[in-house]
Amino acid sequence: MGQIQTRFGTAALQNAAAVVALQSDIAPTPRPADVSSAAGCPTGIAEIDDLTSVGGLPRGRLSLCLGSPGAGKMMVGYQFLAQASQEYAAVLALDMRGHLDPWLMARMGARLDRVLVLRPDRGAGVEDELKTSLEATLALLRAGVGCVLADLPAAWATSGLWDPFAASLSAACSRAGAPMLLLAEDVAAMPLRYAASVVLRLRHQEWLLRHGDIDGVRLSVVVEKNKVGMPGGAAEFVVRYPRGTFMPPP
Amino acid sequence: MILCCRIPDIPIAALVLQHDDDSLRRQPLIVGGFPSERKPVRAASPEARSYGVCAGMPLRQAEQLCPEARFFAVDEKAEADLARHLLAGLYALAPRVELAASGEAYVEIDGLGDPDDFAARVAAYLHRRLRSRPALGLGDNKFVAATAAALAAARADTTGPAPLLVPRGSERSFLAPLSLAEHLPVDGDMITRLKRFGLRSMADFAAMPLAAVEGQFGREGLQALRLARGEDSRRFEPWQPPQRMEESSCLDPAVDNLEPLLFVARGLVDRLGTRLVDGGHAATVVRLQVELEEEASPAEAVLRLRAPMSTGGELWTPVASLLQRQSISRPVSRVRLRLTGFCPAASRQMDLMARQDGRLEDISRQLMLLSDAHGPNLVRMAEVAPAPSLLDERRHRWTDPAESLVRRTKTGNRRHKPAA
Repeated sequence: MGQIQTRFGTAALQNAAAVVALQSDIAPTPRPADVSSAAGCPTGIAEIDDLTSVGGLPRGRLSLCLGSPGAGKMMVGYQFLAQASQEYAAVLALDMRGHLDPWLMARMGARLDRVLVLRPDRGAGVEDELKTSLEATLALLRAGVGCVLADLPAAWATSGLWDPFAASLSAACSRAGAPMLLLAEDVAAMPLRYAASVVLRLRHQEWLLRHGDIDGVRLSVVVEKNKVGMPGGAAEFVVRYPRGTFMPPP
Repeated sequence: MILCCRIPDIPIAALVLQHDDDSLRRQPLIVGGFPSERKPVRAASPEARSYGVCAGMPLRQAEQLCPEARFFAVDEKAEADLARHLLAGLYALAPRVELAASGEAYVEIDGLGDPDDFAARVAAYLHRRLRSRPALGLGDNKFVAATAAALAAARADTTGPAPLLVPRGSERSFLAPLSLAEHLPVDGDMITRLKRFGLRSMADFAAMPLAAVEGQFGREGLQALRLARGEDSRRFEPWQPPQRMEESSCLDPAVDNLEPLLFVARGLVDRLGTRLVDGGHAATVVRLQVELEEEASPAEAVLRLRAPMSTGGELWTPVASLLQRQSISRPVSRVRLRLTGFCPAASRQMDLMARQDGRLEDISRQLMLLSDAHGPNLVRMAEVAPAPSLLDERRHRWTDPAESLVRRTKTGNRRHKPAA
C-alpha cells in the first residue's frame, strides 16, 4: 500500500465508503480527508481542472506535466500562466530553453506586466544554470511570487540537483501557497516525480486544420499521479492557436 | 499666553559651556574666527559689545575696537547641541516650544498654571543650564512677548532681569510709548520713511488708517501696523523632539552563537514593527547595539535604509544582515535595536483583485538583489512592441522587472497607513 501511495498518490487507495460516495449522486466530489484543504489554481483548460479534482493545479504544491517534444506542453503552460497572471500580481516563468514567446503568451491572455521571465545565462553549464535558476526561483517564491511555470529541457529534468532542490521548492511553494507547474519530457528525475503532487502525461492526438492552416491541436491527458484526488483519469481537449492581427492593449 | 525667553547669545553660551571656564564669563569674547581671517563676527559677549563690537562686523574691525577680546572659531555642532538641549529642556516643561532664529525661545503656557510661577520655573531651568539669567516676557502673542522680554532685559538689575507680564487686552497700550526704531521689526528704509511722516512711536503708527499704510508701504506696512497695534498673526511653530523607538533584550547567560542572536533580534524587530504600525510611522535609520561580555563599550552599527520601512517584516532583512555582519568576538550579553528618522508610513492602495499584490515591494527588492548578484538579464519582464513585426524577436522587448514593479507600485494611489 505504501508503494502504491508513493507512486500514485495518497488518493490512489480509498476505502469503500468513499467509493460509494463517489458513485452516489447526492454525495459531493470525494476527496481524501488529508488533502481536502488543497485548493486548485485553474489552468484555463476545463478538462485538466476536472481531472485533478481540485479545480486546477493544487496551490502550494508541485505539478509535473510530461510529454514528448511537440506534445503541447508549452501550450498548456501558456494557458496556465495566462490564467494565473490574471489572478496573481506577479508570476514567474522559468525559461530554461530560451524559447519562451511573450508575444504568443500575451495573445493567449497573459498579462505581461505581471509575468517575470527567468532565463539563465547560457553557456555556464547545466548544473550551474540549473542551480542559479532554482536558487532565484526559491528567492522569488519566498518574496511573494504567486505561481511558477518551469520549462525544463531533458538534461535539466534528469539532473541530480533535484535531489535537494525538489524538496526545497516544494516547501517554498507550500509556505507561499503558490502552484508550480514543471514541464518536462518523457523522463523526469525521481526526486521531482516524488515531490510532485500531480503528474500529467500529455499526448498529441491530431492537428486541427482550417482552410489548410493549422488552427489548433487536439491533445490527450492522463493523470499518472494525484495526491489531491483520484489518479488515473484521462481526457481529451483542444487548444486553439491564436490567429489574426494582434494589437497590444493601449 | 506666550512666554518669550531671550536666551543669551547661544554661540557665546556654547563656548563657555564647552570650555567649562567661568572666568570666560567676565571677559570680552568674540565668536566667528580669528582677526587674521576675512570673516564676520558671529556673536559677541556683552563685555565685547560694550566696546562697540556687534554681530556681522569684520573680525579685523572687532579687534581694533576691542584689542583685549579673545577670539574663537565657530563651533556649529556645539551651538546646535546647546540649542537642542535647551529646547528639549523647555519641552519637558511645556508641550509647545519654539526656538526662533534670533535666539528667542517661545513657550505656549496656556493651561500650565500661573504665568508668573511658570516663568520662574523656566528662568530657574535656563539659569541652571546656562549659568546666566535670561530675560523673560509674557504676552498674548509672540511679538508682544518678545518686546516684553527685550524691555525686561533692558531693565535688568544686579539680580538679573525680572519677567515682564503684559496682561491680555493691554497689548496696544503696552506698546504705545515704545520707539518704532527700536522695537518694530522692519527694515531701516521703512523706519526712515516713517520718521519722515513724523511717526516715531508705536502709538503714532498704530493710529494710522490701514488703507493709508497699505497705500504707502504695501503688505509689509500692513503687517508692521498690525504688530504696532499688538496683533501678531505669525503662527506658532512648535518644535517636535526627535523620536526614537528602542527595544532591547538582556541575554543571561550570554550568547556566543549567531542563531540565538538572530532569534532574539527577530523578536525585537517584531515588537518594533508593531509599534511602528500602531503609530503609523516608518523608520529610515536602524541602530544596532551589541553589548559584549567584559567589554566596556558596546559594538554599534548604524544602517540608513534606502526606503522608509513601516513593518517588522520589512525591517527584518536589513536587521538580520546587519547582525550577520557584526564581528562578535565575545559572548553577547545584550542586544538593543533603535529606530530613528521617522516619517509617516505610506502605502499604496493595493489591487484587491490581484493576489499577492501586497508583496510587490518585496518582489522588487528581491529582483534588485538578484540583479546585483547575477546581472540584469537573469530575470526580465517582456512587453509587446508597439508596432507588430513579422520577426518573432521584434514582437516584444525586454524591460527591467524591478523598475516595472516599482513603477507599478508608485503609480498606485498612495495613502497614509491608518493607525491600528
